[in-house]
This record gives sequence, C-alpha cells and structure tokens, in this order.
Amino acid sequence: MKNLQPAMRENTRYLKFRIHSEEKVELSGFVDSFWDSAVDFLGSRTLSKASPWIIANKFDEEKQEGVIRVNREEIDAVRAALTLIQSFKGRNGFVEVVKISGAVRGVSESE
Amino acid sequence: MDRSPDLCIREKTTEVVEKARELGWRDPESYETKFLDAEDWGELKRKIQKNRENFDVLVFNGGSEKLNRKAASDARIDVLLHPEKGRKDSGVDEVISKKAAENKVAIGFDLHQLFQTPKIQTHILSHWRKNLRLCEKFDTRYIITTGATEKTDFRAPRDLASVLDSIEFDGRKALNTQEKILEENLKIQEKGVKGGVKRE
Repeated sequence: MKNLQPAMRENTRYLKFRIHSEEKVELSGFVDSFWDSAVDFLGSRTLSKASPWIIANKFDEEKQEGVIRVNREEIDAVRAALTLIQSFKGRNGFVEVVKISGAVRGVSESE
Repeated sequence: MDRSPDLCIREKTTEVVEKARELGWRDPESYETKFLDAEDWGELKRKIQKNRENFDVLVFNGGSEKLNRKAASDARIDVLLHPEKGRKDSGVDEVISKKAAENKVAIGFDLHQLFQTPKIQTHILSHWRKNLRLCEKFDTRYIITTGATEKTDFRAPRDLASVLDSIEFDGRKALNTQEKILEENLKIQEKGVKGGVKRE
C-alpha cells in the first residue's frame, strides 16, 4: 500500500511505561490488562481516535518496561487508562509512565 | 519547587512510604493526616476539636449531604474527601461549593472510587465532572489523591493528574493545591497560631 503524505499522517507520541508488580509480568498479561482498562474507561469511540499500539519488540521483561505508540491528541486519555490498571492476570500491580517522546528513539535511549 | 504530597494516604506502612518516595511524591512521613468519620455534626465537631492541633491535615470522609455541608462550612477542615461516596447525586451543590471556597476547604477526588465496575466508574466520573465544574466556577480548591492503603495502590503524581486531564480539568492544579494546603498548615504551626485566634 502506498504511504500517506506526511501532512496526512497522524501525529503520534511514544510513551514509555514501567510496570510495578508483585511478580514479573509478561507482555500478554500487560496487553490484556491494558485493553480491558482502556475499553472500560475510554470506550471504543475514544480508543479509536487514540489508536494505541503496544510495540512488542520494545517490551523488556527484565526491566518491566515497554513502549506504546499513541495519537498525540489522546495522550492524556491513554495515560489515565494506564493509571487505572490495578492488576495483571490476578496479581496486583500498576503502571507508571516514565517518559513521553515524539520519536521512538527518544524513549528507547532514555534511562 | 518541592515535590507535591499525597495528603490522603490511608496507611503509611514502610512499603507504602518507600513506594511513594520512589514515584516522586513528597515523603509521607513528613506530615500527618487524620481521617474523620462521623454520624452527626456533634460528633464531627468533637473530633475536629480533639485532632486539629495534633495533625497537619484534617480530612473528612464525606458522603452525607448534611455533613458535607457542615464540613465545607468549617475552616478547620482541610479536605472534604469523596463527597459523592454512596450517593446517587454528586454530593456537592452550589451552596457547599461556595462555602468550601470561603473556608478554604478542598474537595477531594479519591482514585480508589474509580476502581469499580465500568458502570459504577461511569457514574463516579460523571459526579466528578459536576463537582469539578462547580469548583472551577466558585474557585473552590480541589485535590486528587490515591487514597492508598498498600503499595500497589500508588500512582505517580503526573499519572494521577492525567485522570483529571482526561476529563478536561486541570490535574496539575489539583496536585499543586495539596502542596499549598500542607505548606499553609505547617506555616501556621510554626507561627504557633491557635484555633480561635483571628489573624489580621
């Protein structure tokens, strides 16, 4: 498929998050909790605008960190949905947003 | 600028305190909060009198319309927490909001209230919107708190603020108000101003 012109592309931000939990959380556990929380809190309508995308190969299970790509306009909404996560596969835990950047390199290289 | 405090931490265990420091909150051990519960105004009044001088922050757990109004009318109370709890309405009307603004009582939004089924979460958020509109209109103070009882209840300050940002209100202001309340109370204690003495 042909790429969109730059002016037509949506403006995205990359959001680096860290999981705090009693036990290590796998990517699938995070994905389930994120979508449950996001659909409950934001609903399909807002979520379709936010178009969040969890970047699988940026998820570091050791450090419990990962990156989500999200539309710039809805960054607060997605951040709030992350705040409302309470557990991962039945284990208590929460998510902290560490950094937000306009480029994926910006969040990958940060400590 | 100092780190903002979370004024309504329910249990300050070692784990909770450490997590709060790690996430960037002000050290919870540097101030003491007292939560007040009461059935009627007489009981609440007695509790306020007993605790005002011993604690840095007084928080009234709201929910009853009559006591919400009484709490908003008493300048010795710092925070009226979750006025909408257990109610079908939002628990704050124009009168309560005006009185709270006059007496510098902050309306507290407790994140714990949102950890419910999506249906209840929707109702709570709708109450929050109504209360925040009144707070903005009458310039009433408002805060947002985690109401943490254990370490996994905590959230980072900026993440907490984003919940209010997402419903189009100012989360940063809610965080700054907590700092303001604590600073004011600590200053009054340093100066030794006692209850009943009117400052000019």
